[in-house]
Order: sequence, then structure tokens, then C-alpha cells
Amino acid sequence: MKIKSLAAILLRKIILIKEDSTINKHWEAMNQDYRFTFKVNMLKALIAEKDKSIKMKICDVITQVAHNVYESKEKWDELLAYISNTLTTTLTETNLIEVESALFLIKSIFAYTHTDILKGIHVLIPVFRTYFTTDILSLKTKTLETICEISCIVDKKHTKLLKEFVFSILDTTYKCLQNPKEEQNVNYLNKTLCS
Amino acid sequence: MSTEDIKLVAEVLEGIMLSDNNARKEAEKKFETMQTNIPGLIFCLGKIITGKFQFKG
Repeated sequence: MKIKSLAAILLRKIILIKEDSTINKHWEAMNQDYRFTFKVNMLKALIAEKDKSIKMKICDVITQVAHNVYESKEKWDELLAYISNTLTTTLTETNLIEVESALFLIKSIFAYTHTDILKGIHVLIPVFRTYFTTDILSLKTKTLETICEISCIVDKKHTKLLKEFVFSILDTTYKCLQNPKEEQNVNYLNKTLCS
Repeated sequence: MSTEDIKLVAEVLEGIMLSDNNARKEAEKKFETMQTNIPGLIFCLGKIITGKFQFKG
């Protein structure tokens, strides 16, 4: 299983966009057919993966692919459809990892896709509300991060829609700090609050 | 790229994860060499991630 994680880490590094450029040179060198197949395969890998740690690393690869795609002024509608379908499916114990990875993806690609994602904000708000009513701290933290990322980018009109989550954000932060087992979540929160 | 190429990349990745310093360094060197063919490397890493290739680990 570890080999998949390492492969994902290395692949993400290869297609990473360097600070001095807008598109990764290796991505740019791929032809359209290969790019299409690559995107399809990464989404298939994400859907098929059951191990949370590997799934998140595949999300990292997908995020980097998305950066290249949107910087190239291309679209990746299948990715947005995957996120939308995952978040509008009823939350169960079995699809929790899917939901958390979809939230992670929204947060990671929102800067590029906000025009499309905001079209569905009225669907997302009740979804976020539902996630905050659960007892699953990791899910709440991912929701919190996503809301924070959205509120950093959107205009005042949309920020107002997110105001109802202020208490949930504070409550989640408090619960993370109370629970030493949630060190990872506290780290997420620190990053989010500092950004 | 063939199944052999993917197997080779998988073996190098396994080597990178070894605790033995010499073996790990050797695998890292091999990986550096592999980076001369980035399209091929991307293909192989993609295959490993999608699980289209059966490996020992």
C-alpha cells in the first residue's frame, strides 16, 4: 500500500507548478488525448481507493492536475461533477472518506473553480449544515476548512450566506483543541486560521 | 512503456522505502536516472496509483 502513496507523492511533485511559471512544463508537453486519459484515470483511482491516507494523496495529485488544467484555460467538468455527486449523496459511514476527500478537493481547487462552484452554493450550504450536526470531528474540520477557503475568496453577498457557520466553526475549533487525539485537525485549523 | 518498465519503477519505489541506507541511496540514484524520461515515469507512476499493476507491497 505504501508504494501507491509514494507514487502519488512523486507524481504530484513532477507535475507541480513552480513559482516562476503558470503551467508545469511536463503537463504542457502532454498531448490532449494523454491529458484526457490521465484525468480519467486519476478520478477512477480516487473513486476506487479505500485507504484514507492514499486517497488524500491522490487528491493532492488531482489538485495539482486541476491547477494545470485551469491555468491552461481548460475545464474539468468530470471532477466538479464527482465533487457535486459525492456531496449530495446521503452521508453514511461507508462514504465518509469520499465526502471528506470531496471537501478537501473543493478547498484545494476553489480559487480556480469558484465561478462554477458558487452556482451550487445554495446546495452546498445545507450540506455543510448537515456535516456540522454530526459527531465526526474530522468531517467538521474538513467542512470548516472548506468554508474558510470559500469565504476568503467570495464577495460580500456570498460571505453573508456563510455567516450562519460562525458558531460551528468556533465550536469545532474548541473541540479540536480539547481532544489531543485530533492533533492533525488542530494543525489543519492552525493553517486555516493563519491563512 | 511495458509492464517491465512499470515493474522496474515499482521496484525502485520499494527500494526508496527501505530502511537500509545503501539500498535506499542506490534506489534514489536509479529514480534520478528515470527522471530523464519524465513522460514514461508519469505513465508508470499513474499505473501504480491506479492499481493496474500488481506489485509485492
